[in-house]
Amino acid sequence: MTDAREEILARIRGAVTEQPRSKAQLELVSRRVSASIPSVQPETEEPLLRQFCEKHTSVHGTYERVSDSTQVPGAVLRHLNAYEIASELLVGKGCILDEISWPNDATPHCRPATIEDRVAVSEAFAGVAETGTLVLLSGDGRPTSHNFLPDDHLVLLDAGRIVHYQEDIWTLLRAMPEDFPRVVNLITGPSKTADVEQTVQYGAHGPRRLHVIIVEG
Amino acid sequence: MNPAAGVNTAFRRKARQALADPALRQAMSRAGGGFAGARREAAGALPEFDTLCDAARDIKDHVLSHLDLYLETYERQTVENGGQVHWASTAEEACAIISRICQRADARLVVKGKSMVSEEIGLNEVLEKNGIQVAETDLGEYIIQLAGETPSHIIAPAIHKTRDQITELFYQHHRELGYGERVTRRDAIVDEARSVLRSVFSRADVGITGANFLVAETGANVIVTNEGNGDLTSCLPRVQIITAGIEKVIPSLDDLSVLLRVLGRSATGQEMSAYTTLYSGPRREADEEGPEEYHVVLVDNGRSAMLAGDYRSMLRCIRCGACLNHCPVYSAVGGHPYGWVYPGPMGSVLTPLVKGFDTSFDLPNACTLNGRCSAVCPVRIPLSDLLRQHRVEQYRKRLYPLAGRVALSAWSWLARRPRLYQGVMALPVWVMHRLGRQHGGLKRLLAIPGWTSSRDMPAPESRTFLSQWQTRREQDQ
Repeated sequence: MTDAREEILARIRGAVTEQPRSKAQLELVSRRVSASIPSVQPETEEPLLRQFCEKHTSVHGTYERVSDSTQVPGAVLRHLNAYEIASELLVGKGCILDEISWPNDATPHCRPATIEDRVAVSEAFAGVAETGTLVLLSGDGRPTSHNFLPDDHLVLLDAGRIVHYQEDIWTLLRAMPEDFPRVVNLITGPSKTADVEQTVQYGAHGPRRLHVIIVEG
Repeated sequence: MNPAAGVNTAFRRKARQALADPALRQAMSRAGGGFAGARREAAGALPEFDTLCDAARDIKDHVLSHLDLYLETYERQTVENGGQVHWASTAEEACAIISRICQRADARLVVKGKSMVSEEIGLNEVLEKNGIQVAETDLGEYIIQLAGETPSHIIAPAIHKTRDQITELFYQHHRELGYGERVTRRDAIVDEARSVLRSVFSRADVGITGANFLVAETGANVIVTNEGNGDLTSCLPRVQIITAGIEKVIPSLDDLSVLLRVLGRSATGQEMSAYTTLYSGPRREADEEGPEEYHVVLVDNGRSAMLAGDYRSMLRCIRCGACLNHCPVYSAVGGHPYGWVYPGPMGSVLTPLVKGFDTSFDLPNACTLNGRCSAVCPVRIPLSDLLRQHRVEQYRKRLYPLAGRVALSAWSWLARRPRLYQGVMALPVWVMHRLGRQHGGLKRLLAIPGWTSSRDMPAPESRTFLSQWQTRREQDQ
């Protein structure tokens, strides 16, 4: 299909003015794709954690704040008990998650999700206060299916990793030594649809509930 | 206005049918205003909204004038990520490319996330002809696939369906799968679709989605959804295919943030949709899952031609649907009378450009030029002006009938001679004033009885505006 490629590019070049491109134009384009540019961001004076929690709640998410990582299993079990869910857990990897020793009444599994799985516990790369958004990355021990197949998605978020704006996430990702992640999920509330009579229903294809455990210590 | 002989007038026939369809009226009146109100609230809550729209427009304009360079950069990045980029000049080429990928992968079942480009190129029909089963997974798309219909809204494809109709469709199609009961509650309807489609997801060989954006910086395709079906479509099957118009490329992740801030607010009044995902290439060494193949099909289908002409600004469109939600004509007749996949104001501009006036003569004329579409467009596309431009071209191409053209020419001749115009208009104004004196309005207009069938024509003052204005100025002096 190289022919189509050449044809399309030729038509585009014929349509846009200034051909051939000047050196300045080529530099402008390569600058635009390689560097952060200042953009328009909604102003706010709210503290990060409070804004994150407010926005997350406004999109039907729930959360619990815990003082340190030892409190995490208790918070997970409280959520499971509240919805009477068996404690077979899919557990991903992460700085906090890797340190946790699960009690005997919870069974963690480390593998991609199937349609039978009911609960997944993940750790967020970061949170965005602007919109109450969780950022999750794919990679070793972090299958994307954990974020979409189970009914209940529990996400650990280190309070110190809440940033103001979405652009701050890109800055963090650009600064990572590894390649840009294959999948970056920006998750804002549980799955929903309004395709039946324009009325919102939760749990369309993804999780019915999104519960964040904010670790402050 | 009646078109010249031989011009297709399917729109007005289907619009008339739509207006007489009680179920459609019920569905559309339920939907009416919901999206528009949500958008107003979200835009109003953000003082920076107007500045963001300007920034979004500028990003898109910048990309369009450097489109070749950004496409090449995007392609380079995607290949570096291990993906394959395919280019298609026409709808047929795009379908052929996708069919070949599916056949090579020995695919029997394809799942799809909502993609307007795939609707545009008629992909499902081609795949099915090649013996491949296609399952739409966005709830709205799934409903209309069961009904054998096309989308009637670009973000809410089944907006024209009532709950009763969905209940019946599910009962007919799910009975054989063991769902023997009619589901009538909204949550039960959603649950049944979730349950039926999960087994489809787990069996699918190929997943096809559209792309809201393609980021040149990293080679990511970005999909924005609320249901999560687009992500299951992208992460479960062994082959991932993305269909995207060539205008979808943007420079950087920071540009993405600006565009996302206006997209959700304009579409549904959301600050962020539930799921915004960036996918970059096939599974990597550390991944325990994910597609083995990652293909992007870049579709031109008339877009590069648009880039050259007066309609370039239409390529800024980010498919939010705000212009549909604010259009009085769309709100009354729904999407189907427009005849192709893109309805409402954006469709009335696009369809003639891609399909020609032969099949879409009525579209630019099914518009009151009220300008709401232009006012709410988050990338500032002058939709009203573009529709008027279509009309000018129809006039030049003599697509209007002779009588109409003569009348327009006569009016234009008159309107350019102010003194004569005032003299000629004074008489009918005086006559209407006399006739309407008793009731303050006219109960019937002889020339256009339809106009007065449900309202009165207000009677004019005894004299024309200009003559009153002149009198007042003389008094003031």
